[in-house]
Amino acid sequence: MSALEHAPCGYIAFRDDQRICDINGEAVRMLERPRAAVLGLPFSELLAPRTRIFFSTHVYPALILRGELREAYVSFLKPGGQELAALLNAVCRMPDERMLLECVFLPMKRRRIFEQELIEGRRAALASARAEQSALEQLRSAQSQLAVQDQLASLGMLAAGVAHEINNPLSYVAANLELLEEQLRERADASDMQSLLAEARQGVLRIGDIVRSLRTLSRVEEQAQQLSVDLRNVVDVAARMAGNQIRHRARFEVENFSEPLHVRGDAGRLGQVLLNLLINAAQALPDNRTENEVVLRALREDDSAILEVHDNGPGIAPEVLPRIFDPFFTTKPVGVGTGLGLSVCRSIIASLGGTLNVHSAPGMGALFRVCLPLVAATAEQPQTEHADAPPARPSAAAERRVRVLIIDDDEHVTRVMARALREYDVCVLNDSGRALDLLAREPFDVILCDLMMPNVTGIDIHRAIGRTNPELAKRFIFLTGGTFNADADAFLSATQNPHIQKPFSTSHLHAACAGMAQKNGA
Amino acid sequence: MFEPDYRVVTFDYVGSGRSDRSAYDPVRYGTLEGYASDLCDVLAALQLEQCVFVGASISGMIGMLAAGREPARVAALVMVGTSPRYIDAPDYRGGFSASDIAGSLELMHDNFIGWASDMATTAIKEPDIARELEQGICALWPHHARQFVEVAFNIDLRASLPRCTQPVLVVQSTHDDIVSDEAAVYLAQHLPRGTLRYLSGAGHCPQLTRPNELGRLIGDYLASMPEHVK
Repeated sequence: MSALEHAPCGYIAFRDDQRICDINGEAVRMLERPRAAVLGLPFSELLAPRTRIFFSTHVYPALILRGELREAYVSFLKPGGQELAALLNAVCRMPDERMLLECVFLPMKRRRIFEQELIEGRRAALASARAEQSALEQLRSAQSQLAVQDQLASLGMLAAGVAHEINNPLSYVAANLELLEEQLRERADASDMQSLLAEARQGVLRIGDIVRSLRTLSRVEEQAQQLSVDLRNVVDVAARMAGNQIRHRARFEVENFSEPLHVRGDAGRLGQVLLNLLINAAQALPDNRTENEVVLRALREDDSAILEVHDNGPGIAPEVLPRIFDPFFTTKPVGVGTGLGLSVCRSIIASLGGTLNVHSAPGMGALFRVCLPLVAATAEQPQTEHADAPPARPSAAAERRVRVLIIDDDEHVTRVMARALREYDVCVLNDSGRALDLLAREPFDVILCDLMMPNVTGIDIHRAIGRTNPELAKRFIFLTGGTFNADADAFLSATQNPHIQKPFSTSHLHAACAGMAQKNGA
Repeated sequence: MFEPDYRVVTFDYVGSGRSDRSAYDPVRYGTLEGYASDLCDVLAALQLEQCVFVGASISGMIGMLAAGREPARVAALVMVGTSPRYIDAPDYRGGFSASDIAGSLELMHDNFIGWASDMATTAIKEPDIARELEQGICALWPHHARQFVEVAFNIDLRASLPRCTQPVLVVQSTHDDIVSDEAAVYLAQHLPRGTLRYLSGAGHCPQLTRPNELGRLIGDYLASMPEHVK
């Protein structure tokens, strides 16, 4: 009799012919089989059929190969046909020439239930942890969006202020350059200087663009553009402008669309976006890699026009991806990027009712995708004020001197304007507080008036004149360095008077004055 | 045992042993033909001609399928504990009902898929270590093992037996819980060139329990083969 006879677990031993040679009292009790009937029986005959397959194909071979087996679930068959689920441990020994296989087992119905509960519990806990995690992530992303919006709002204030400050000096730099160019044009020996000036003027135009993009960030939008533009022209222009820079580093492929793609917007702004994306794509590519490629594609999807800029560079790291549209976020070295480019691009596209998205993964390059709603074609936009239109010379000025009053607190601005309008009889006023007095005393055909001035603003002056002399009020042309408050915005959109954005070109100034003088019969 | 006289080639089926885990494709190995294709690849890669294929259990049937496709490479087959069909049918006793097979799969799930894989990942965060632990619990890869058992126990290759042209030694143990005596007799009788030999009390894995006796039996059979097979 085995020492295990009264142990609180089932014990069965069998030989390599599977015949049972020992069984303890607990096993006899649990299996409800008399000892005599069990001894000599093949072990597998004690097992339920479903266990037999598992036992013979997995448990038994593993036991012989490894010499032991821990915690296998098996099911014994009781004579009545019921099953006894048990947890089996076994060892295989060689006490003599023949293998001896010894098993102990414990019923495990209750344990099975516990285990099942544990598994279910764990799954539920995991699911709820996952749900909590995703709720937290949502909260975090909402918070970061709020933070970005905060950042944008304060940035907007700052940007509008900076833009305004820059636009005044920029106006007279631009105008002076233009005047210089004009004067040099008459001298045959000055072509070198002319080209230097032309370059300088290009620089000024770029500064003007940058300042305008800062204003875009401030979200103090200029009046919504009701004109449409064919995106294909934007693609052509941007591809031409960026082409050289890209072809230095990569193959550049442009697939423009075959039919018109009219979207709401401004060719300059959209071009700025596309140019930005193209330059970014080129800069993302590694140096001296032959397979470098940038693809620009315009296409149509349902009611949307799509612009795609794809590069096959290293792609954008997943941790960087969510932040690339944040203002001031840049991966470029100090001095290369301001971190405003993509942020501005997205603002511009959003203001036109579109979306700008990115798809990228490490090693997969990056795809920037602009989606803009298609609109019915309207008349194409007039050329922007920077167009090199020949200056309109006021012929009327020769007949009778048109009187122009310039009101601006910045002396440099007034000086350059006076110089640009020297064909006219120009009067300059830097102190806006004296404007009403002067206007009451002297007649003027055109009043060029800055909108934002300390103490008395252009709006104040215009309102006062409107009450006393409505005819004179119609002769106002407003100058703005970028509006950054709601009052000024509302005023400009309500007024019938023209306004000129700083920095302005002299030709534009001329044209505006001439137009006003003509209207007034001067 | 056979190495002094024969060139012995052994291999692991995909899904077991040291086979490449990434090679496992549940579609390819959804039928025995997938395993038979692998065996044909092995025969071709080693340029084996006129070999004797020894397969235990379901491997015997895989061998038969491969031998049917590559008759020149396989001269003879030895099937140890092999059945052409495990589930009972009218006029046929495979030894199991369909519900036995389903119950067995469920039990295997409980043994290593349910508990082991569910809990192993809790205890240890690194998935690799968890897998090793799981592998320690069962020699076969659990998910593959389950599919393998599912495929193996649902076969019915009775109709293919008469097409086997090679001589076949069928070794049947008494007390084989997996292959019924009736199934083994059916197999030997329906193979055109089948021979049945019994091994007493060896169970389903005589290669483990009675390696010497099994070896002798196979040796005697090979000795009776024409000279060029050796």
